[in-house]
Amino acid sequence: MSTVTVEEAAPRVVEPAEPLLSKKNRQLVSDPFSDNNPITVQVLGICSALAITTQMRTAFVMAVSVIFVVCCSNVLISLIRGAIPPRIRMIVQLLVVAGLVVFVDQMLKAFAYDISRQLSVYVGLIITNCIVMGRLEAFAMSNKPRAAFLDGLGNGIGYGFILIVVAFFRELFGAGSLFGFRIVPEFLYNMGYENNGIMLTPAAAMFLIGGFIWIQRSLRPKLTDVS
Amino acid sequence: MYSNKYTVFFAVGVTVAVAVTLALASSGLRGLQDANFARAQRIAILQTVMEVDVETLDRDYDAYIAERVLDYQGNTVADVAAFDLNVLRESRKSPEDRLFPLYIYEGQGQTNYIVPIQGAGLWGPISAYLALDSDLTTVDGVIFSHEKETPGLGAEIATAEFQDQFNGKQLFAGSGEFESIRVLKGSGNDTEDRPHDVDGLTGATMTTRGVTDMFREELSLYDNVFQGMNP
Repeated sequence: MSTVTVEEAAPRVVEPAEPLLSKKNRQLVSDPFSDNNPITVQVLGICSALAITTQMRTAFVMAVSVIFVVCCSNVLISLIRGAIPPRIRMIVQLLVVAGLVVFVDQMLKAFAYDISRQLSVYVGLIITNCIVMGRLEAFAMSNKPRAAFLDGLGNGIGYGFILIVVAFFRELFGAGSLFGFRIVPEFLYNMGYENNGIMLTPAAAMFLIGGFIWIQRSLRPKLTDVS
Repeated sequence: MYSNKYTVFFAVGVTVAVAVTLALASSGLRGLQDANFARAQRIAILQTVMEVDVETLDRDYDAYIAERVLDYQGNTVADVAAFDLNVLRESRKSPEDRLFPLYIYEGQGQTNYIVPIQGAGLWGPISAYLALDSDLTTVDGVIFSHEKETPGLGAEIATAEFQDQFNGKQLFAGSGEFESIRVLKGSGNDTEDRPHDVDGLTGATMTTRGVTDMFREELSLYDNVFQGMNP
């Protein structure tokens, strides 16, 4: 547990002074990583975070898919934000997001078939992932494409990071492996160690995420006022 | 303020752009997706009777599996490849017009007859490959697959835990009567001495009912096919 909290509490480890990235742009990426994390602070996207975090592999693919969808939809919507009639803006956003998600689904079916079967309905559910629509409404509709891209990247990574950390604990304690490789040595099982079955149920993810939220908020008192 | 005309044109434009992009992606990736699907089918067929090593999949499949297509009377149909049959489409035809693919496994001193069966779950189609012993009544293994059953509930039919329960169950009663295999309602039923029952899944009554129906309907047809078949 302690390693996670250290990483979460020290967020500003972005590469030193890439000239293109101003301080403001860096914050766009790093804020969603900790102080404005979509899962632990905004408490969005919980549904998929509970469902597909039994294994590192699926969590990783889900994270990459969401990062891709959030970045692309943010950029696309930001590019055409001036042309979208306000009356139909939500529908246009939804259409772009849905198009991207179907595209990701097709790619997974073609290049990662096993994983696409494991993710099953959850790839389709990226469409309804509040993070994606939330970022479009809150950010992409009123910012330039590059800023929107960084915002999408930050939120996607912030989401994916939590997913992977949760999956790390669930796969390690639930199945004794990481990315499908056996980690817990055989002799421990012979000595009576057993995998923790509850870790494989969605309830375990709820406890873990709840734990993260608690740790994060007790380390950063200013967050307790957010929600 | 935008005019109505502009709004409509914009909506149509965005829709067409998205549709064209997706159509291109879909047709471009079709070949790869079909290959993946076929591979998954081969894995499922072999998995009913043996552990599958994905490295040697194609070699194992060619070595152990013989494909046949039969009609309802059990006659072999020569000019159709079993693997190319669209089993879902076939399952909607009347029995007399339908073709029945059969995969015959021969290896390690045993012969198994593997049949693909189709049914309906709660949200969409479900299907299975069922391996029968050479007596054509004892189940040696079954692999379920589904498209959109509820994860954690109906989707559990595709887990080893559920599938393994079918091993050793009987399709026919001792008297030779077709009994099929039923999935009981709820979990925790004692099915130890009941050769035609398997324990169900709590919260997945509709999906498991679909499994029961699929077994009864499809296997009663295959029973007729088997009776006319020359081994």
